[in-house]
Amino acid sequence: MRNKSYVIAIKSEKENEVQQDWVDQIRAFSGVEIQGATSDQVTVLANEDSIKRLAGELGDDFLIEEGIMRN
Amino acid sequence: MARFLIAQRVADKKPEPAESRTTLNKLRVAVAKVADVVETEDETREEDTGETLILEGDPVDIEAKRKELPADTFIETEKLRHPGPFHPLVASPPLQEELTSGLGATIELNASSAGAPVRAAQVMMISVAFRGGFSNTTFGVTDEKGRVLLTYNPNVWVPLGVAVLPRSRAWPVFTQILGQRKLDIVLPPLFRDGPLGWWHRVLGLNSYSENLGEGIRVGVVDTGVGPHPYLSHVRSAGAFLNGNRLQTPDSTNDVAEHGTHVAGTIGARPASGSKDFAGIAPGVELVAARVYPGGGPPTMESGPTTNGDIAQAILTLARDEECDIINLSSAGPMRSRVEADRITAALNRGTLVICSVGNGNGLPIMYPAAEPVAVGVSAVGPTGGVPFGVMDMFSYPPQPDRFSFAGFYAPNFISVGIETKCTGPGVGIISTAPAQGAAEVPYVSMSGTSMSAPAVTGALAAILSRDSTYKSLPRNRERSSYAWRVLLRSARTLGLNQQYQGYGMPVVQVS
Repeated sequence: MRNKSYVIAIKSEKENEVQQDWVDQIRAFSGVEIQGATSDQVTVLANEDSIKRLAGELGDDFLIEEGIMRN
Repeated sequence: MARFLIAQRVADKKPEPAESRTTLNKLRVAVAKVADVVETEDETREEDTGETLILEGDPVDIEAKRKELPADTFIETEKLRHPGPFHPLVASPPLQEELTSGLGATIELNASSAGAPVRAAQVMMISVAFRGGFSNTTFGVTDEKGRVLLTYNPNVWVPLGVAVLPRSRAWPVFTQILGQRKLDIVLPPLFRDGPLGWWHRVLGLNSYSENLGEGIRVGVVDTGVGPHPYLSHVRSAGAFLNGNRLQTPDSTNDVAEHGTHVAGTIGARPASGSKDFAGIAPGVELVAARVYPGGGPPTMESGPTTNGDIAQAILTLARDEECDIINLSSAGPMRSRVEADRITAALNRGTLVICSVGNGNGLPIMYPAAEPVAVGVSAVGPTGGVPFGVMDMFSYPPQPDRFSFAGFYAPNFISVGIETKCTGPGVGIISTAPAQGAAEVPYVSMSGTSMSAPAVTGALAAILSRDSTYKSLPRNRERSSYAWRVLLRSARTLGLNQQYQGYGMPVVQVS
C-alpha cells in the first residue's frame, strides 16, 4: 500500500484538552513517519491502514486528512 | 435491429462475375426472411461483382441464419471507420534554412519598452503539434539586449504565439507568431502616475494618506514578501513548509513574485515623489508567512503548497501574531477540514480571513474561499482600463451578462458561485515585485483573484483603521464579526450577478 502525506491537527476547540505528549505518541506509532511538527499539527507519511489505526488510537480530538495541493 | 455485412470469401479464389452474382442472389434469398437488404447503387450496377451484401436485421435471427450460409461466407456487424486525413505539412521535409540551431528552427525575439531593451523577461512560446493538436511551451529569458532565441522542431510544432513577462516596469504582452522568424516586440511601459491607481479610486480612495490603515495588523499567507524597498516594514512570521516552521532571517523572502505583489497592493509605502503606486492602506502593519517552497517550473516558480501548511500559517498569524485580517490568495478545488477549522479558530480570536475565490475559468469557487467562515473575494476589471494588446486584456469574457453598467466586467478567469462574498479590482493591478539589487524598485502588473483579495483586504483595513469601536473590541468572535459586517455594509453593487460579485465592491468612506 502506497504511503501518502497526511495532516494530523488538534481540533481548535480541543487544544486545551489534548495530552502534551501527543506528538511523541504519533512518533512511536509503527508505520507512520513524521515529516514536520508544530505544537498544533503534524505532517506524516503513512499508508491508509496505518493512518486508520492511528486515527482510532488518537480519538475524536484530532482532524486527520490527506495533504491537499493549493496554488 | 443492426446492420450486418455478408461477404463471400475471395482471398483464395477468383470467382467469375456471373458466378458471384449467382452466389449473391443465393445469399439474398437465404437471409430474406430475417433481414432487409440495404440496397445501394453499387448493387444495381451492371459491372457489380456482387461479393458483398449489407443487411439490416435482428442480431439473434442473423446469428441463427449463419449456420445455413455456405462455409465460405462471412457475416459480421457493420463497423464504422473514420478517415485519418493526411496533412501535407506532416510529411513535408523541413527547409534547409529552418535547420539553423537547436531542435531544428529558431525564432529570434527582441523585447523593448520605452526605447530600452527589456532585460531578464520571461518568454513563453506556445506551439501546437501538427498531429494531435496538443500544445507545448518553450521557455526563454531575454539577455542584456532584450534578445532571446526560441528553438523548436519544425517537423512537430507550429509556433502560435509568444508571451513576454517583464520583470519590471512594462506590461506583459502576448502576440501571435504568423510565420515570422524574427519578432520585435514593444512592451507598453507600465503606468507610473501613483501613488493612487484606478484600483484605489474604485475603492473610494481619491486622496493619498500614508497613515491610512494605521493600527491594523494584516497577515499575508503567500510565497513570501520582498525584498523590496517599499516593503521594508513587513515583519516575518516565518516559513511554514511541509509541516515545519522555519524562522531564519530570510525565511519569508519571496520565492516567486506573487506574495510581494499581494503585500504591495495592501500596504506598499513608496518613496515620496516617486509616482510609484502605494498600497491601499500603507499604514497597516504587515506580517508575512511563507507557505510555498519555491523551485517550481517557470509557469509556477512558487511550487505548490498544501492545506496543512496554510492551516498552520493561519493559526499562527491569528493566535500568536494577533492579526486583525489575514489575506490568503491561494486556492484549490478540494475541501480541507483542517483549513476550515483554523479559519474558524481565527474568527474566534478576532481575525477575519479573506480568501481569493480562485481562477477556475467559470468553475465553482475553490477552497477555502468557499467555506462559510471565509470571506471569498472575486475580481472585476475596468472596461478599457489596460493598454490594447497586453496580456491582462485577454481576460475579457464572451458573456454579455459579465459586463456591468458601472464600467466593470467579471473576467473570464474567475471561479463562480453564490459563496462569493464580495469582489474587488483584479485586472492589470500594478504592484511591487521582488528586487534583485539594492538599486532596484521593481513593479509588475498582474491579474487574478489573487490580486482582488488583497485589494479588498486593504480596503477593509483602511475602513477599520478609522473605526474606534472596532479597535476597542476584544480579540474574540465579536471583533471578527464586526469586521465582517463592516465589510459587507461597505459593499456597493456593480450590477453584476451575485455569483460574480457577491454583495459588490467595498467602498472606503473615510475622511
